[in-house]
Amino acid sequence: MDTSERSAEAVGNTQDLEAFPEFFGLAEPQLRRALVAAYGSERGREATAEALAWAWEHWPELCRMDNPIGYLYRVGQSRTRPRKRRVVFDAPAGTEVEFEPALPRALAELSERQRVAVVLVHGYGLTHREVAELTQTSASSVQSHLERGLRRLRRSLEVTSDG
Amino acid sequence: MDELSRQLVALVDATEPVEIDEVLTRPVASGPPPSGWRRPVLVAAAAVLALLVAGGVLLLVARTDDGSRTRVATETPAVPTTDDAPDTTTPPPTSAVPPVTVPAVLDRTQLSTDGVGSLAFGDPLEEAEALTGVKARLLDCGDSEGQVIEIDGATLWFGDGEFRLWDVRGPGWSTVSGVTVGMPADEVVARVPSLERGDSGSGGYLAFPPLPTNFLVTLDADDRVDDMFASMARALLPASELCW
Repeated sequence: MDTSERSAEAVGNTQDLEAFPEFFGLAEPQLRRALVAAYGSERGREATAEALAWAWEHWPELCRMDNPIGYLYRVGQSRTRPRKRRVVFDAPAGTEVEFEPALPRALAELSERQRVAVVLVHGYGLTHREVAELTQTSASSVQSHLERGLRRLRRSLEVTSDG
Repeated sequence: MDELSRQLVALVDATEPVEIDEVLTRPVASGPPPSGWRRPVLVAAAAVLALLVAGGVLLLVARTDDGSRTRVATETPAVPTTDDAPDTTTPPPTSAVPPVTVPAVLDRTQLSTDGVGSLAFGDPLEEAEALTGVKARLLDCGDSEGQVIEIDGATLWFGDGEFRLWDVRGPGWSTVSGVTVGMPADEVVARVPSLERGDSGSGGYLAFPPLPTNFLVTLDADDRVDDMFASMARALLPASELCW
């Protein structure tokens, strides 16, 4: 079962307000990861909150959609798009992962679509189809953005192998 | 998982999760989403010049924020209540959901200098085809080619595979400021006071000064809106590709 099927199931059977927390639990991490990848830490989180607030406001309508999380992704996009600001990622603090200091800037230099594909597919292991459904593009487009984004990111970081 | 994957996840997961209480109490902008534009945007572009030369005209429509509505938090996911929207104070039913209108993905009331509703300038052609359900056709203008999607009096133009311009000359469409085809010019100016009249030599138009801009309207002989255009800032298709 893919992400859109799970999200549809989360809202599909019970269209009452009690189902919202379940949907929220499923949708929040997906939206946050995608929108933070697209717009950076602060804007991405803000866009996520905007999208989920819209979801709560329009819950009965959302219940009728085939791909509610994909729709909310576009809501998040539209809420943040007018603000043409730089994409900025906050470097993680207190993580056990050895962190490349140049990564936030290198990631920010990719195009929006490249960042989303790289983060969701290469980082979180989503399939091309799952990312395509979330961003309402084609799987081949995701593949193309992923390849170009990874190539550019690795070049920026001077990474020549996965290791 | 390789090192890059781990670092990507660490970077994105460093952003604090959104809590449900934050959502339930969050003031949200009213109006139909996804809307691509909420603040006045004045962008000069070479676009208009190209259009004017070709006999077309553009206007830039400004839209102000719609204000906001605030939900009131309760202990459980409860009924949204607002100060200014009494319709939302009625709890949605828990069993039978009344018929609702699912927001159109391509909102015809959201023409703007950002695009059309959720379809923003710069979006790829394949995305536009998926959103509209209409297959683009090739428009051969002789020495150059472009692709267009035509829907009920509106034409979406694409160059290099991305959305560059919309052109509306039919009913049923409106800008975010409420400007429609057939509307008297005086009413347009009343809605968007910053617009100024001009004459291209082949007819009157309304546009924001100074030219070039990226959004304008042509006026017919009765001084009503004949055609509306908006283009991606500084990236309009060359006039030769517009096939006027």
